[in-house]
Amino acid sequence: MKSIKLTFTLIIGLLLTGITSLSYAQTDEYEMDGKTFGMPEAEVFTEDYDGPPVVGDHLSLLPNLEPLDYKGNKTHEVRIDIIAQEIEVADGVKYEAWTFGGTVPGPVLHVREGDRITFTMKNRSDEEVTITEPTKEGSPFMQQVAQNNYMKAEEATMPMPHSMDFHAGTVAKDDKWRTIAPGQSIKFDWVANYAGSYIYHCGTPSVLMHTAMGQHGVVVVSPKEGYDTEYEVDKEYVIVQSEYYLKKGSGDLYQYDYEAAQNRNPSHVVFNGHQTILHDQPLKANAGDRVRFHVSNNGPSGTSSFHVIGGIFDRVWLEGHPFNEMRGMQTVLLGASSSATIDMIVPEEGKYILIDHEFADAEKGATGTLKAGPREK
Amino acid sequence: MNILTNIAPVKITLTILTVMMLSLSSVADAQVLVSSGSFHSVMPEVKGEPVEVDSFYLDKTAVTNKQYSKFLQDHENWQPGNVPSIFAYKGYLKSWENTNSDEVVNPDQPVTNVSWYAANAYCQSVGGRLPTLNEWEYSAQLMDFDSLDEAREFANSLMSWYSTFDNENIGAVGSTGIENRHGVKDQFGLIMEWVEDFKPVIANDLSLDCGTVGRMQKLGNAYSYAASIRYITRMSFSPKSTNSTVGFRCAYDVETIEDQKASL
Amino acid sequence: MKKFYLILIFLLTATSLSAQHNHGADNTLNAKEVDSEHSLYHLEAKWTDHRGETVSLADFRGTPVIVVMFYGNCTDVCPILIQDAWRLYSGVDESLREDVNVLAVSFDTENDTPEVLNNYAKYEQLDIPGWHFITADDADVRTLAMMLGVQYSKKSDGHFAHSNLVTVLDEEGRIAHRVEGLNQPMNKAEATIESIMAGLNK
Repeated sequence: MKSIKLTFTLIIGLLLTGITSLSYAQTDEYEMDGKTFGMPEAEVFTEDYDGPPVVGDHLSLLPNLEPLDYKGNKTHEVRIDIIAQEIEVADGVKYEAWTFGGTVPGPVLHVREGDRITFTMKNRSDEEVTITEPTKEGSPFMQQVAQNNYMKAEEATMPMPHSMDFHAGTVAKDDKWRTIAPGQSIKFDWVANYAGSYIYHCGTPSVLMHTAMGQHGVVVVSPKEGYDTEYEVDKEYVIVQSEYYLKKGSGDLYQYDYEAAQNRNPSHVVFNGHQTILHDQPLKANAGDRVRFHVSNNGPSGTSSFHVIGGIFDRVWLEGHPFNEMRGMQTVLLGASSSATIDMIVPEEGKYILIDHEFADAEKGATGTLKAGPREK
Repeated sequence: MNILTNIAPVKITLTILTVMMLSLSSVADAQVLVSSGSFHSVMPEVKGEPVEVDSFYLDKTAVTNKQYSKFLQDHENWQPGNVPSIFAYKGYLKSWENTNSDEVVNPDQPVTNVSWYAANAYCQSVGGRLPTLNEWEYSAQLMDFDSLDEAREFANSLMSWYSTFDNENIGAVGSTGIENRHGVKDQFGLIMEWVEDFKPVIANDLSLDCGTVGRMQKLGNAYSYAASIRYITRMSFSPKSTNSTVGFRCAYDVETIEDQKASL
Repeated sequence: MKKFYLILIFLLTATSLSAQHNHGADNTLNAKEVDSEHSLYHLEAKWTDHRGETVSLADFRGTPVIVVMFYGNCTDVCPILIQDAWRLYSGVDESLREDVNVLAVSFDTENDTPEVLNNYAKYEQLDIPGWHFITADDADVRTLAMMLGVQYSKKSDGHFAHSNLVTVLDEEGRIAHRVEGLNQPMNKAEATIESIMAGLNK
């Protein structure tokens, strides 16, 4: 049957087959340098789920970090749903944020180097989701946000396509970081191969708009063997710097300011999502404590020159990786999506100001307080 | 006139008119002819060449709740509860309490929470079709403005609108005051709309990439930026998607309407 | 010099082919994710086949169906696509083949009239029982394409950019297997059809 045509077809076919099968191949899991690569293909599906938007034992509200209460490695079942939420970012400045889990930044995920994360995310941006009711379900994040609704979160809807890009994951973005429509869910695995603090954010274009609208957070991957210090730390906090680009809308709410975002001219530069949160709710420690800060600059577009007024950073691990140790730093420069793990000795009782030493940013809000009590030891 | 050419290349200019809402006196007046022409899409078929669009008729306004409820009376298979899940997500018409035409809630508001399948079936039922992506976009940018500042301000307002729809207070069709030069209303400022080929040719290549907006922003201004957001949002939908901000209007081949008019 | 020229041509061809496949460039679109839990036979459209008869999808309920979407004026890729469907069909065990139907659906509703499709079927030597070259209203064709996850888009030169996809439907019209790309191995698709048949003959 059709012998001439068949020959022709076969020739073209030979050319095409190799290429096609390559582009659809799924890499089998393998190990290299003690790291695990080759995750199964992501699954996009629909589900009736209407439970808590954040599920998992090791997810917390900034500046908290859930302790790793297990030995060795484990698989974390994590859910962070996408919801719209009206939040306050500075006194009297509210806008309808696009969020992971309901806050900006989203919940902090804490895992250990080598842990596997089975991640599920539903795009619930067209659904009203309440995050402020006390709940026993979900994650510690849900309880913490119900107890401390500093951002005055209220339900909102704004159906948009979204996606999740974990910088802590090493995967093919066209599979795992796929954009999903409102009502869809995605599920995929990734392994925390490298220790450090890594941002996560929505990777759907416009990435500038999606991250500026609030879709970012942090994963802290603690090193398997810990950091090489002769001491234990007394307090551990997570600090995220980010920018908002807002202007007054027609009603009471503020809105995304496209021109300001394009021109890198933020209306607010903040720690942990709100201009005054780290003053009204200062970080606490005592004189003589060793405090560890996991500091991440989530951008979207600015840099952070992170400094603590009255302190010197005893140890700094750039990106939080234990090999990248520096000592005696006054300021750590963080580009967009860059982080550092910082140990500092709290010298004496009193007040210490966390600050982006780029003063234009500081005066737009990038400051916070560490309040030190008397020496106990 | 540099900036203006930037926003609207070739012979197309953008314009906003403050127009009173017109009541649709007869079926024939419900559609207007959008005459053929070309425009620079953020995704031209051939790089640098404008997209050519043939003349077509387009509904002046988006399909309203009232119109849609009439469709449901004649097409029971599209009533909520009857629609197989292969045609719509569970949110289909979720804001509707009943489907009785006399008691339609917000009759003059555009119907939303309808899937592409539903929109496609509706347009088929009225002898039309969904507009193609290029038809819709071509019509949308046929606007004239009084000044460059006005054009720029309009483009900027689109960005705000795409970041925060007030989907709890969607106005009646025709209420935005935004209208193209042929009288097509509310292509912005009210809802987003389905088009026939909402996942265009190069959607796979474009939709998931961080650099997309930059590559799509050929015109380098707020209008093309807003357009890229719209293209990307639309192409990410599933045909089953039922969003509170997404409705539709129908388009018609020129012959269809001319035949209709001739038979009247 | 001539050799160099040939190599160059080959490289260009290879590059453009790989670009098509990785990025769905000008003519090849990746197929979209689909709903495989529900029956395509919910689509109540009326189709006309190349024999001039009216058919509906649900007429094929109870047998496995191979579906392929193409257009008649497409001379480079579509013959391969049709050939792929033939490879799958003819690969099914002969005793089962008469219960398998093939739907070749044209999305060029303007040009591919039932007569044109009839000529096409004859030219392809596929005017045989079980094979149905069909067409319908634009809206219905587009709907079926959405359900199958086939993308197509008319270009200004009258040709279409489209996905290359062969789909197997089970006896209820649910998507049982999809083969994306041209000249793909068909053994899994064949096995799918045979297992559907085995289920039916129990």
